[in-house]
Amino acid sequence: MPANPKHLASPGHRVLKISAGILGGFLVTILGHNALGTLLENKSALIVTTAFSAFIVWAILMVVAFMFKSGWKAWGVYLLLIVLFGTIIYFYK
Amino acid sequence: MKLKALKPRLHNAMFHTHTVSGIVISFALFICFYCGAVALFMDEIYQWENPEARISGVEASAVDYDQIITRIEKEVPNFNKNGQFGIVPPTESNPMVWFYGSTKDAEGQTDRFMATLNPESGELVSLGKEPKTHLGRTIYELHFFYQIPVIGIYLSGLVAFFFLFAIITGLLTHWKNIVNRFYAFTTEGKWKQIWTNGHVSLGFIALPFQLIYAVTGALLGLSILLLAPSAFLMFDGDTSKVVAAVRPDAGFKYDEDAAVVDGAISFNSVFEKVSEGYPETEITYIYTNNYGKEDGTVSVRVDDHRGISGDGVFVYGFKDGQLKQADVPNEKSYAQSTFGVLIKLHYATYGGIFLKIIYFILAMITCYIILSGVMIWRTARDNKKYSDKQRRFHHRVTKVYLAITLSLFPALALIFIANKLVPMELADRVFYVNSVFFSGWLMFSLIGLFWNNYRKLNRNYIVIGSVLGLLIPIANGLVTGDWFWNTLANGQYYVFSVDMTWLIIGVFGLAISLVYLKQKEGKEDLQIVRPLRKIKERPILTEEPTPVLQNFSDTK
Repeated sequence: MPANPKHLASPGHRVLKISAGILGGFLVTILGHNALGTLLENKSALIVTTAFSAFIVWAILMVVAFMFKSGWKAWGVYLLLIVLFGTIIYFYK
Repeated sequence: MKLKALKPRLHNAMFHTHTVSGIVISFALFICFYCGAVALFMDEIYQWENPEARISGVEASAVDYDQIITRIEKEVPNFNKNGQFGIVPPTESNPMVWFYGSTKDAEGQTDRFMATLNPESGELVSLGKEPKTHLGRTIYELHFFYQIPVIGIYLSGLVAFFFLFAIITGLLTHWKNIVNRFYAFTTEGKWKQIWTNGHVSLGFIALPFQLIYAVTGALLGLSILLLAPSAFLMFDGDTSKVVAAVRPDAGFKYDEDAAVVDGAISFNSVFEKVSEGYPETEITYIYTNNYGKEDGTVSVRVDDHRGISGDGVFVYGFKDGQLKQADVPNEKSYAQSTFGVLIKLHYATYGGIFLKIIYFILAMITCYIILSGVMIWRTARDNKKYSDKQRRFHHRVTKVYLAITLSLFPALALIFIANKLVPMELADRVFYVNSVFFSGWLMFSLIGLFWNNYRKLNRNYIVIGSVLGLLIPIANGLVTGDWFWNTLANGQYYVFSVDMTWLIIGVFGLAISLVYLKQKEGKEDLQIVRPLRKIKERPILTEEPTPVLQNFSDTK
């Protein structure tokens, strides 16, 4: 039995969620890791960790994007995180 | 015991994304796992694929590596001695010496080449862009779509990444049923149930394995996505610093105009030094940068093939012979070992041949999970809630997917035969062997589109593959004279096991298709897709015979 369409989002929200998951999720992942990297002394340990953690975090963020009821909310939260991590990189680099 | 279910909205959202992402990547993912599973044994099948490599009793320490460099210099015009070049010492499974280097002509154009040499005489066996036989490599390259120019590897990385997404959403979708389906693995009852039970219970068993491959596969295919931003954000765009963090031996900088000096070390002396220090550890690669120059280095990669952190690298300065960098096997720090662990997890080089066999079985289970997912997708849509047009579309997609994926088995048998039948002396033989493989695969897939019954489709591919598989030991015996009873008697187990494996696969395949898959054929040939067309004339639908075999069942 396939998923019940009454629980699925409208096409507009679907586009928002997919873009938030793929693009927003990627930016949050990369900026988050690098924000941590700028704060840490031992950068090489962080970089090798990124090799596996980045894909896991990114995939989870993609899943989470679909958990929001509204696609706007997903983008909103991810944009906030992007700004937060971006600020950390800008000031601590 | 039942695990707590997700809320309906969440469950349906997860379910839908799992279905869509799964269906989109399914056949590509199947190719990754199927070919990757065979490629695990790339080294082990090498002696079978190349009769010239059927040499026994070769000692890596007996090879004169400096002599090989001299030989290459003599044989290869424009050999670029300052660029990176390296030698793979002979191993038990692959007893040839492999040389990888580059040429540089007067205009500064560089080009890569490889050569294979006889380990005892040091004589050149092949030279050029590709080795003489390419069977294992073709299958290996297919598993990351290397044959698709430029974007192939990124595509495979994306497939692996969406596989990770499908794993997480799948886990959430099936969460509440994981435990009870685990005890409900059955081959009886409604088809929808059989597919779903198999999908969930096997998926749960293979979950850690699949997670490993999704992450490492994404890393190997999409590392560029991590490398570039990190270099830009943390090191002002200097990628070499990021590379150095992951691979310390790759972080040295070399000056092309450095002074030429007499070195304190040679390949032979470095080989001796490392093998004396680590006698239990195999040397897998010796390579050099700026050889013969003041800042040149000679590096050695080692691997004990036992521990998950059993690989290492030693970098020696060419001028003074000093150890510049050492990643000692099993004594590495977190930063030094992590990347190696990820690679070993992907290539299964940390537990000998039995680990590879376990990996192979888990990969085949994963292939089953992928296909059963497609079957669930189709079976669940095979009912009157869908229009005829939709149902025919579902049927066609399933048929195309099954044809592409299941025909890989006969195509694989075909490349083994082609490897033997295309003469070794023929120039461009690799091209012909690969053409036979890819056109054979295409042909088998196209034939499959005419078999409307999935059961028939599956059985026919098994029969074709098994018959071709039985021909493989015969082809090897006829062409090389190494019949499998001879190779067994002579102790050439690498050659013997390939023949024997195909023999067993062939016999079992035929037995299964003749005894098991034939049983119900008479009845079910009636229920192919044709009845669907008649449905239009009869507006009222009762439980119609559905496109292929299975009746709809609403399952809660």
